[in-house]
Amino acid sequence: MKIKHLVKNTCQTWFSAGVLALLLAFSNTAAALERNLDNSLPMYGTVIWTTQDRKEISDYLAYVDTIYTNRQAAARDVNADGWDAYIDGNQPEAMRLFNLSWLLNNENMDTYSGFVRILSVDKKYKAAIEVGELALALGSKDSEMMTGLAVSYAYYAADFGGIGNEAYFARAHSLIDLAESLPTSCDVCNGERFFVAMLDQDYKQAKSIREAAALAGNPLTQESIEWLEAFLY
Amino acid sequence: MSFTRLLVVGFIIAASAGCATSPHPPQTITAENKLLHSVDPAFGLIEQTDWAEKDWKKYQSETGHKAFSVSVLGDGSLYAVGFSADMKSRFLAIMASQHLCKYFSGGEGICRVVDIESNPINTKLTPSQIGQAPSRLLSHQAIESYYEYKEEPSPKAIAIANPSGAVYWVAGDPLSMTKAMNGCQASLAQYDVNCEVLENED
Repeated sequence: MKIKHLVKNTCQTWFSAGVLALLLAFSNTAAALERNLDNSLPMYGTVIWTTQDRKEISDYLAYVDTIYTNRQAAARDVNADGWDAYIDGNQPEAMRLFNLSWLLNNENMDTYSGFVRILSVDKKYKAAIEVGELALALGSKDSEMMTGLAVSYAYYAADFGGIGNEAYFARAHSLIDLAESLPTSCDVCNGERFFVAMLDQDYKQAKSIREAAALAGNPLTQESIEWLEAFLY
Repeated sequence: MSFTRLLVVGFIIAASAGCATSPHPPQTITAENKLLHSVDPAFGLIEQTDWAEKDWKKYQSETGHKAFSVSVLGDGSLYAVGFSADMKSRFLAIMASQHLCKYFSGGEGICRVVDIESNPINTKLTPSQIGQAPSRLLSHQAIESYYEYKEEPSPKAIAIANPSGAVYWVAGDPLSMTKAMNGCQASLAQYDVNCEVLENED
């Protein structure tokens, strides 16, 4: 979950994020910009901008420039609001905010993490994978994004019965390996690796993950254990 | 006197489908991509797939910010590739290669970037010229073409293809705008959607 991310924000950030969100909600520039854009897709579906879109994007950026000294800071604050909306279960609003953030700074990796998370929750696994792969190429080092991407791969592969999709399961495992190899700790790695193994119907591996997790004093959730036991016994 | 210049395609692409094997390894593996290559089995498949290896070799001969994407099927085989080169930033190179891979794969498989390189470019452009050029010009060649256009007398017009950022300009002709648009349309790449007038001076 992104609670960790939100906790890291300072009061000042929360304040400015709130101010910006309020301003965005009522600003003519953001409203005009969004009238013709599809907020159901990340990066607005990387649409071909019309001349009018470009004018409105330019107006929007100029408007944000009057509030913030730099767009990177503005993007961080919009992302904080995006995660807030996501945690509140308001995914359309979260997507809208991450899209606005992407316009402000298209190299903020947290924005791509937001896209991946929302798309995965919406079960749009292929779209989540495409954005996640893009984020990896752009240099994301977010272990939660990587594990989210891994699980999306596993779901996508499992949706087709898993047969003939060994490469996608392999990619899922390697993404979790990658997340675990990062200097930052990966609290969710074990659970997500278990999840991928279950979706891959590799119950032997799932069982050994469960046992290793228990030995390490970090047992899987009861729900996960029951899921596995339903297949083992 | 009328001048017409066909521009330079912002994206350089390649794609095909097929299956063949070849023992030849890719030409070079840069330090920047050593880790990526060693952990991604899709990269290793390029050398086992003739058509992909040909595109890889073409890509290797290009300069500037560039990226190479492959579309991988569930069984691990390659379905299509897409690559970009000469882009003015690493970000654009990655976006373009993924875009082209997706275009050429037609939704088959999943595209991922397997190589990213930022090499010196052979250009007379100064960093300031690159920075001041319209942001929609994505490649150094397109920017060079734009500055050539700027040197020409009016009337003149320059059109740009979306999304590749390729440009086409006409100068010294009262019908410059129409001709620039027509030229742009006529040279539109298959993955481009439309043309727009970037600048016009009567």
